[in-house]
Amino acid sequence: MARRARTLPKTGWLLAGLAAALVLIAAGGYFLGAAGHPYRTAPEFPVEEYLANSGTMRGNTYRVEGAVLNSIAWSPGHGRLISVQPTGSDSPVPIVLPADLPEANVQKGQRFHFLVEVRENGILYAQDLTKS
Amino acid sequence: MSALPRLLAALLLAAAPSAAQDTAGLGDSDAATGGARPPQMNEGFIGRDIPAFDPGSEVASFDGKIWNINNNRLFRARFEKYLNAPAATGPADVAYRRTIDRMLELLAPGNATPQNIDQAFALLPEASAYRDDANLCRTMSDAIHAARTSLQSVAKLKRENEILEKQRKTAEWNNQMAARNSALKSPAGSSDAAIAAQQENLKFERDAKMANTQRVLSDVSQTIENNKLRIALTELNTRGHLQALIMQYFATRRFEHVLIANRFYRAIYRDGDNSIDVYKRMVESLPSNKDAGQARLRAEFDPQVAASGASADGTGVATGAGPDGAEVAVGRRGGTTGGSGGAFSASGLKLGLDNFSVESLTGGAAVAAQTVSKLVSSLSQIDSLANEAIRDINEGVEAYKFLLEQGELNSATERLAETFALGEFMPSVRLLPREDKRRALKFAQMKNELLAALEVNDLTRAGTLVEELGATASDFDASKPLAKIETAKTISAMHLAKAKNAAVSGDRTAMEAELRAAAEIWPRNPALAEVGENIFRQTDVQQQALVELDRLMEQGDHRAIFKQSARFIAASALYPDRQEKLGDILAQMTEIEGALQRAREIQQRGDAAGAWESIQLAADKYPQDNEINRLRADLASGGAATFVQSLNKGDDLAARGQYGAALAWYLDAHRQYPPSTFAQEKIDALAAQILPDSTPAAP
Repeated sequence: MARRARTLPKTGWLLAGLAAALVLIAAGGYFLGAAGHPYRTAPEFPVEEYLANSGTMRGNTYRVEGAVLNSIAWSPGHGRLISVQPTGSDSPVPIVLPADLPEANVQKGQRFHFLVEVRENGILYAQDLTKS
Repeated sequence: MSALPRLLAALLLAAAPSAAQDTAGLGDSDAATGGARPPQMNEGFIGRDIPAFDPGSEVASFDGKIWNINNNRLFRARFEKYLNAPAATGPADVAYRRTIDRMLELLAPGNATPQNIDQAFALLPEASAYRDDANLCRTMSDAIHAARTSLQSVAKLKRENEILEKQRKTAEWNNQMAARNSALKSPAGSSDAAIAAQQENLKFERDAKMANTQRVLSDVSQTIENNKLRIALTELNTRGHLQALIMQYFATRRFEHVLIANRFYRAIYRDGDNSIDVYKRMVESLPSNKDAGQARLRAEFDPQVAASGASADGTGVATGAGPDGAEVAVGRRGGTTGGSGGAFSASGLKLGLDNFSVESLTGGAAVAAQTVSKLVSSLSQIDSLANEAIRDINEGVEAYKFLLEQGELNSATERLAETFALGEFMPSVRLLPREDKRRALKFAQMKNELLAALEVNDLTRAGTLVEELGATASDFDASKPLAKIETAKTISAMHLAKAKNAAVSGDRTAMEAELRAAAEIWPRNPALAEVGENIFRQTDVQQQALVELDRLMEQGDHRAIFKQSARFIAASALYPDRQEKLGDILAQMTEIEGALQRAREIQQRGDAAGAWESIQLAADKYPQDNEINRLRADLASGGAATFVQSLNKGDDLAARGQYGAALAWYLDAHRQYPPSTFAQEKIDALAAQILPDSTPAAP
């Protein structure tokens, strides 16, 4: 009879531990995910809306994750213009990396998180970027 | 035909100046001179005053003019008239022939007794009553009568002179006696003065006694000399008149009349003088203005005599002028036994120079008379020439009959034509039956028609006639007319070909000149109308093409112009302004067609976006071209739809100032078609605008 009593508490602890582990894993994942989207306060960039009419998006800030397709132009005073293939979209978008942006090696094929602002003429200017 | 009758025929033709034709290039003269000068300019070894006949070409030349004796309008007309006339076998013709033959028989050598001569003379009025004689025998009768009368006058004058000679001898004797009975005696006085005075008185006395006898002697001598002059003048008158008449008969081919008149002449003037010096002097003095036409010989001899005083040595020369006729002066040595003399001038030999018509056959009688006078020097020669002509005419008629039997109509007609030209009035020619002449007539008419056709260059008709003539006469030589016909046809065809070329090259002046030349050579050339119609139709088409070209240019429909480029190029050849515009248009269209061709090839390779870009380049340059627009539209709505749509959206947003989105669309287009030059250029352009002073990064 005694044996039965010792077995039950162990199983409960095991189940509780398992549940706690699952919670920890979920929380870790949550926090770990937050760490992959560094500009989670900013909304995701609406590519289709931008392509249709960027006039209404002027002054807004968005986050964009995507792969660098090409470097289009470079100006020492104004920075670099690159084309980025946003994740989940086939249409590349141009992003200006201003010259005062902290230097980052942006190469073709690399994936970055961009914090972009829609400025005059609907041009996307990166305020920050993080390699993903 | 022998040379002599041909010469006579040429003389007759010389009397018809209107029929003269300057046919330079005929005869041997051209060959002799190499064509350097016309044959009539050649002097020849006997000069140009003597007629010459070239039997090779049947051309007679005289006085710088040449005639083809068979190809002469006037002669042809007379010949056809003769061929249509019936044979001269009517009662009047027979009677006339009999009369002429009788006269010839009566006057023949050996028969010309005074009785026969009188009988023949009596037949002259009878012969002149017939129409065929044309009153020639009447004229001859008058001339013979005048000659006989003049001979009686001469005989009377001679008898008078015999009596006057006796009177002169008596007067001379009386004069001698008067001088002998009045001898100057020695004076009786002693002083010289008295002697001289007495001598003077005696001289006056003797002169007074001789004055009467000297006057009588002078008058008689003067009368004798005057009578001698009248005798000479009368003989000159009648001889000249008869000689002129004989020569006129010869010149007009009245050979039988020549023989009759000649025999009368010999019967009248039995002194044996047959020279025609009188006639020669007469005709040489005839003024013949060749430029003003020929003159008709009028055989009138109306001398005006002017006697004048004699010179001391007995030799006198005087001149005189007749009222109308040519002036002839005859000097007379008039020395006589008495030391006195006379001289006279005979003028007014009106040998008839009436320039009545250039068209007249007799208008050239003066020229013919002068020519004959150069050829002969006596009436005997004229007589023999007339006999020779008669013989030749009779032979010609016989030859004609024989050739006719052989079916050689060409030769037969030529022989008859020659015989007719010489012996138009001869019995053998006149008696030829009409049936025999009709065959020659038909052939002659066809030949004349052929000549007329060749003259007016109706080569079609001429060719037909040559064939018909060849079928009619086995001896007809078609080589000459055929050579001319074929040569003319060839030259006409060459001109037509040149006209075609000129029309094609747009040289209207040359085209018209060549057409005119072709028409002149062969006016009824069937190809002439055809070619002319084609050329003018072509000209009409050209005008229509030009109107359409202008319309299409105005509409800017260059493709329509390009499709008919050959037609418009030909039409605008003469219009430099249109030609320049057309050249620009065709160059553009060539470029457009090249772009279309390239676009289609790219499309066939499956590169729709590339094809669209290729055609878009051409469309930017030539936005009005339908073919470009159609192909571009097909590509934009087909395989290159999304590519074109991206570019278009980019353009739209760029136009609205949304450069960022526009660049995104261009990037999208570039993604779809990485070789796109359009997308790349637009990307570069916007990049430069977004990043001023930037440089394109390497792709």
